[in-house]
Amino acid sequence: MIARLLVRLVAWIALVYLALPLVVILGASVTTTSFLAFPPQGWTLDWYRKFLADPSYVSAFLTSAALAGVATLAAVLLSVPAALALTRNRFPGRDAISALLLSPLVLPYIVLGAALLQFGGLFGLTRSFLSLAIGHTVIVAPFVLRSVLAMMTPEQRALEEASSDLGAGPWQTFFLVVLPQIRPGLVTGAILAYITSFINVELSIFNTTADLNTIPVKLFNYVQYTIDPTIAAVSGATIIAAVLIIVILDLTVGLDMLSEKR
Amino acid sequence: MSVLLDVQGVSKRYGAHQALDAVDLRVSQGEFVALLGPSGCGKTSLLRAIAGFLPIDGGRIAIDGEDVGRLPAHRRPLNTVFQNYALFPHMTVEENVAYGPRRQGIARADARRRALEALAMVGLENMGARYPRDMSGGQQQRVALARAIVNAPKLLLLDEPLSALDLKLRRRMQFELKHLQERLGIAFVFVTHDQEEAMTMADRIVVMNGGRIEQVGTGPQIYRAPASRFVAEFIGEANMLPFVRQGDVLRMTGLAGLDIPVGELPVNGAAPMRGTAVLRPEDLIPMPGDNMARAPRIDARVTDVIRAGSHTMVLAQSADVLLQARMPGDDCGLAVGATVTLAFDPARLHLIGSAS
Amino acid sequence: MSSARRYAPVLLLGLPMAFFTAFFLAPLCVVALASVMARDGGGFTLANYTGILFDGYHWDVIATTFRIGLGTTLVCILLGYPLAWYLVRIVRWHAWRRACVIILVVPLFTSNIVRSFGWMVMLGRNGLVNDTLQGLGLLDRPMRFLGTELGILIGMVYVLLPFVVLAVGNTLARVDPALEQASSDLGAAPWQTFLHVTLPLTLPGVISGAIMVLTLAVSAYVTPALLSGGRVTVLAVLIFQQYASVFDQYHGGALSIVLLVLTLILVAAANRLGQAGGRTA
Repeated sequence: MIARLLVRLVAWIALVYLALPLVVILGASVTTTSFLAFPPQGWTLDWYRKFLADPSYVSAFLTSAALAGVATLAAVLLSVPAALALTRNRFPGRDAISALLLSPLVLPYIVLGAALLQFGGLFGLTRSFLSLAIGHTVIVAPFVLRSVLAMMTPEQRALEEASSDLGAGPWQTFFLVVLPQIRPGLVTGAILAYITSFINVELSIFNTTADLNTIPVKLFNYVQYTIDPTIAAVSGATIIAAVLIIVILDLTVGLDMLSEKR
Repeated sequence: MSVLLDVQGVSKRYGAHQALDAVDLRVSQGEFVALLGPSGCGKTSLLRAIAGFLPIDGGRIAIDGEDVGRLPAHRRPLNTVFQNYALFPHMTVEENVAYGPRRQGIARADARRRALEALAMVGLENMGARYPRDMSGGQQQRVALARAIVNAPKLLLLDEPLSALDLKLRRRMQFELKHLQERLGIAFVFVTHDQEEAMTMADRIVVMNGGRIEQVGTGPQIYRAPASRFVAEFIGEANMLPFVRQGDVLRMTGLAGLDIPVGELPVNGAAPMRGTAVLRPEDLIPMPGDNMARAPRIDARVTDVIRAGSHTMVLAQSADVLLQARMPGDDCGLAVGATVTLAFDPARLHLIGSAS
Repeated sequence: MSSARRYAPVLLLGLPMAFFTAFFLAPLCVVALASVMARDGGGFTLANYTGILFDGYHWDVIATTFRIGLGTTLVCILLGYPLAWYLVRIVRWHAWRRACVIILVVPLFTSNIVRSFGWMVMLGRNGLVNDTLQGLGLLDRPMRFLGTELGILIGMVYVLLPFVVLAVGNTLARVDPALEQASSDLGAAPWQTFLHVTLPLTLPGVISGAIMVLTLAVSAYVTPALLSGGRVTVLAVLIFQQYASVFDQYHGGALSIVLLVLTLILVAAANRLGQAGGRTA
């Protein structure tokens, strides 16, 4: 079947296309030359050691990690009540509010970043951890909201009603019945939120300083002036981290997406 | 009548599960055959194997003498009505029905004409412009039927086509389908798990269980003379009475040793040494009259009286076995707890040997 | 109890809505306001917009942005539909499918910068791509990729391809197999089944996925910034310049609103088409 062969061919081209840059970066990060070379000449972990020992990278990493953590936490605290409210009753404007809270998913981050800069400037709320956290929360909250909304099925609501019927108050119902049910969506959403915040550039560039830097922005600034194996090493580290996270996700949650329920 | 569909020794295995086990079946031109059995018995697998959607491990399937094993589904000379109709949601009813002819290369105008003819045959000639989602279940079912018959196939496979309909509609569709089949002269192979449906519609019923055919026969044949315990219990209700043969007497071991002379049985001398006798509830008579003075009788205590409108089921516990008797009418005059005598004519017993 | 029920949505939504109003709606309003104010403090004016919409340079930028965006979307579909088909319909071995999904998703978990950086390395004068093409005899001298629209396109397709594959894959996996079997049963050859049944049924999902990718491509900043070498300007880059180097928030505001409106139009179109698709199958 020629068609199947063609599909296979294109699929393989696409897969190689997807894997190649990551392989190249990892390869270039271990070269012994002081310039980027692929295939690498020699093999050394010096570049990794270099950036791990560099205090500005370490501090940027800690900032990114803390920022993502704060933003994710805030996102959860905002999105879970919102999800509850949006699925519980009908009220006028429900769809509009839902669309509004989910809209950062599809709007240009660069515009949101600029808007927050301008707005924050009016109140002196710029270039601080707080301003960064606020911006990141706005863009990652929809990930949590979307994932939790997907868990709010009619079956789940029936469980809530059963709980009420058996005499449990709203708080009890929430912690004993609702929370365990939405946990998978909550966890997925939180992971997506954390990662989105960690790798974000467009919001962070407006608010970072020499002292308050995130890894992506640091990379972004660096890479526009010099490309050397250090950047390859930092990038390589993020790739390794991403692979680890995904493999763990696959082993625990299972990433058998795209398989048919035939 | 010539043989249209010839299934020989067809087998299919999924890992440890034998879905089809050396199945043999012949269907004649214009015949209405029902494949009947519980879920998982293989009836749908057999249908899909014939249609070409299930590759088989062994055996041969021939249509009109030609081996279709090598033919992919779209080239087999048959059509299928799917369980959930599988109507193309993005096409109108008319486009759905004209789909087959169009793919065969028939010109648009001719295909349209044929489609309208087929729709008229199922009473939907004015619904051509509608979309399937705007139609009721019964209407969708008829569109699926029209779509399958428009190609004038010699063989039509139907996979539980009426199972999604409510009872009254189902009954009506059963008659309509039967009449349509007779009018068109197409051979139907009809899968169902509903025995009443099979009995009502089919010329012959194929009872399947565990990937095997248990019995093939007309409705009355399999009801009166089930070939195995499974068939006896699957079709209708049955009193299953174990027996052993002692000389020329049949000892009913489940009925406190009631003995029946072999001569009074329909099989005469050919009764097996041990096995189960099947007695249908309507043949077990509570409070027999004088006309049954010499019939074998059992005493039992009534445990349940179920009044089903047109008839009444009486459940009574004898020494070893729970008996079911079916009486016509609404008022049997028996109360729970009462002792009752039940009699039966031995000629109505059907014996199944122990091997089955 | 019932009155508490009625107020519950208000209570639960209070904090999220307040947060979003303060830090999402309000900033956008500020930008919108700035876009209609004069640079010299002269009050309400449409000069910022006329300066964009009637200016050749700005139209060039917008055109470039869309050209790259549309090209990216097209290539993503041409590569993504077959890959999705391969993963959903052809791959039988679960482990391999999972491995492919990992390859698909890992780039999404790394920053845009890392993804673009890989191409900065590969598309350079002495990079892998040029070396391979010359090695295969397809080029005599190294071709310039960085700083061209082609280079940006290659990088953007890399970033957005996984979205298309996942969107198409999900739509494909949800096509009722009975429909394709019915088509076969009625005599349609496999290519006819694809053309008349599978493709139409997956098209709405594909289109709304494509529009999403177009939206992301049109508003992209990092990849064009890194791969353009300063030679190619897209809308997002122009916006950033207004705020970070030129400090013209009025002009920047107008540009932002233009990009925002374009995005909203695309999103609305995607919703409309997604709904039409939602009613089928």
